[in-house]
Amino acid sequence: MTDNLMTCAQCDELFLDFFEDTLGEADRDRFDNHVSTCVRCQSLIRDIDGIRDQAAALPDMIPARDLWSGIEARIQPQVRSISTPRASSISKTWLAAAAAALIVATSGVTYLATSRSITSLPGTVKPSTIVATPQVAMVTPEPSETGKTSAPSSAPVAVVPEAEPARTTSDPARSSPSASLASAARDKAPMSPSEIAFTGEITQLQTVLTARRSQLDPETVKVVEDNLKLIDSAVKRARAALEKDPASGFLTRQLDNALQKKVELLRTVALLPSST
Amino acid sequence: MIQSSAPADDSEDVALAASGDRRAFERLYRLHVNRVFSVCTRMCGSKVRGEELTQDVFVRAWEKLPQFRGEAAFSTWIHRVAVNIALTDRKNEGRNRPRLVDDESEDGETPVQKASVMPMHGDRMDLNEAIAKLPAGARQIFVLHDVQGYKHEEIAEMCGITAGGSKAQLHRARLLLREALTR
Repeated sequence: MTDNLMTCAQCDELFLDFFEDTLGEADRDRFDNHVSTCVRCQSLIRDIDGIRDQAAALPDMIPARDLWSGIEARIQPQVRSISTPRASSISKTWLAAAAAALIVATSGVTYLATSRSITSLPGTVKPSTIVATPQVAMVTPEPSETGKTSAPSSAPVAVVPEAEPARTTSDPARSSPSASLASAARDKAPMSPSEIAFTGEITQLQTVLTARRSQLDPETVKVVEDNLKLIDSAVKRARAALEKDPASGFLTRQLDNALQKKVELLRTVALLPSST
Repeated sequence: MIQSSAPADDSEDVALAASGDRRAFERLYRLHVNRVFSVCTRMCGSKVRGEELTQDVFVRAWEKLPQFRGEAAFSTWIHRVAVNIALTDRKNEGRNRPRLVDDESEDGETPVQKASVMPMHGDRMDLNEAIAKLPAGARQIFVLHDVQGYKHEEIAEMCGITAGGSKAQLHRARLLLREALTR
């Protein structure tokens, strides 16, 4: 369709600017004149206006399924055991070295404590009670090292000469009840190197405490025993929890802390002056 | 751009979610999912792909939320995230698949021409279907301008084209839709 001023084809070229409202004044007049008399162009404008109105009023669409589970799975942080990285980042060599250092240090301190206590109690300590300790069980798996026991580790030997053979044997029949208990505990759950060392120290110190019991003030003994019960309770709980979660670094540290407290308490008691 | 609905007061949940609260983020999801899904689906022309993109949008929003400063409403921000993801998806799709000349199918028909043979279920549904069948470039410009209310200058910046190119694509899309809807 045409009129005096503009054809439909010419009008089509102006539709873009018409809908964007960017037509110049002169073009706008010619365009309006054409549209006012052209059914085809009127229809086109009406249809496109309708599409624009419909598009602007389109309602939101609703997903056919709940998408949250998929999103949640992707934003969930990876759960990692807090103990796994520690275990992988610390080599067995370092662990062994740390355990050896701990043994040397604790044995040295215990040696000082026990030698002072035991030498003041001639005949009160039976050699067999000191000979076989969990510390022995710790060194016996390495026969090549048994002959190279460090001075602090062999310290009780100076007090009890016949203890040396028992130290170098792994024969369970020669072990003391405390060593058997330690052995039984290991059957339940493997003991860490530090736990083995602590257990050895504790056994020795408890022997001293038993020997010195009659020399100490009964009130002091009661306080010490009450504290030991509390510590033993903490140790028991930590061990039970570790059996369920052996890889937990936190529980391992809790157990070590409790054992360390017990060692410190027993050392203090071993060094206490006799009551007068 | 226009807002399709009044923004809810979600500022508290936005702050909680930004600090890592997943339950707060889930509430934000529930509040905005339909709008995000609408943008994604209309931009890509597929409900299935729209669902996938919607999940991508919320995962991206979760990752970027700590950087959200609250200068704009959360609804505006996540809407922009949705648009960006939909546009990126089309670019990636274009790289992964040889593009047909002028977005026509191999048999020479435009998607709108194909859409015209689909059953119609009512005006608005017709328009959604017709939009889905538009050529990708024209569809995105039409959705951004006529549905979402972006200006040509904004669209040009987002799509990496000129404002004139955006106007031309829009006009083309409208004519294709008219043809499909009036056939």
